[in-house]
Amino acid sequence: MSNEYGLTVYNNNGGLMFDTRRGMNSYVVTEVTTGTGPTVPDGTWNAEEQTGTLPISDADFIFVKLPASLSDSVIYYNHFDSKFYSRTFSISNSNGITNTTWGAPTEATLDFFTVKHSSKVSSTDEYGLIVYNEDETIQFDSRSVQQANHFQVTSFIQSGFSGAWGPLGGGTPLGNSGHYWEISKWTGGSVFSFEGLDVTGIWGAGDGPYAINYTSVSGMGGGFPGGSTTSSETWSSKIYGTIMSAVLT
Amino acid sequence: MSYGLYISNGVNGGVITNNNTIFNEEYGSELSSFPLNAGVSYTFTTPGSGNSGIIGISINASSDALDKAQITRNSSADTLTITNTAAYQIVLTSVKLFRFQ
Repeated sequence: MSNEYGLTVYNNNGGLMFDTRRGMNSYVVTEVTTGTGPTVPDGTWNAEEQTGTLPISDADFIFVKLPASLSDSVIYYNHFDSKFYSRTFSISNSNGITNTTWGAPTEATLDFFTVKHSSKVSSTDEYGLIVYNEDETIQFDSRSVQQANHFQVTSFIQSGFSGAWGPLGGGTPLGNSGHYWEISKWTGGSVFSFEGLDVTGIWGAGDGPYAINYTSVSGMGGGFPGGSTTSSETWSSKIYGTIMSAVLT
Repeated sequence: MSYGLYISNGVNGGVITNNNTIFNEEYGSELSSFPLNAGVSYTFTTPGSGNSGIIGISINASSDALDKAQITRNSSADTLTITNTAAYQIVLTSVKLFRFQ
């Protein structure tokens, strides 16, 4: 930056924590726990007037740990009920044509933490430090830091990643399976058995974790209600969304 | 403690110090509903954008637009460039840069 005045704070790694000379917004840890999904605020949705907020999580980022007990499953996040889900899968291969049998979607209990923009974390405390941007939006508000934990992003994979796993070509491991992985920006899938044919998630098996992007033509297979099998499936190597890992500090 | 910023309310403290990391969105570098014509590029010059270990990019757009939006970094020039590789215009719903360090 060209100007040499303002307030800048670095951490012990030389990393920038905030800088009044930049236009920045900071994010803070808001929940660290174990469960089947982040805390959901009360909704104010008025269906008749189509106004208000839906009772879904307003976390900006959701990082989960991949438990060894679910190493045979793909884990994903469903925005509509703010829950984590897992599905087992098994693959048969006949002359290069794969058939995948998916288990039923099951709510998954995971260690996780959530991150929100500091402006979403309200406080009426009348002490602390607030740093404003030039346009009077808040860059940092110490009152929003309400957890003992902080987080550090350890890896970042930008949208367009082409290493998602498939049964024929394998895949590129995402990184450290012991870290927390963000799943709200790129994962998703069916949450009812009879849908069953759309899964984008993270698979913590073997030397992974791996990203999975699976789709197949609905109605081509059977297996209701516990799972579904189809022969018209696609294992895409592409992931459209930001994948990140992090650790709590 | 010889670095960082310690904030106390007189009873509790230690809000942001040492290796605590704040994840920052550099909103001054945001794009919103941004059209990118065929073969055209847009380059971010935000300091650190040439290094994926310092700044990440998050793009929201249709799957097709995301497929056609090629992201390249130039570590020497410290830039990040989005190029529309399609033969038609794509629209990026939002583009945000995030600073990790």
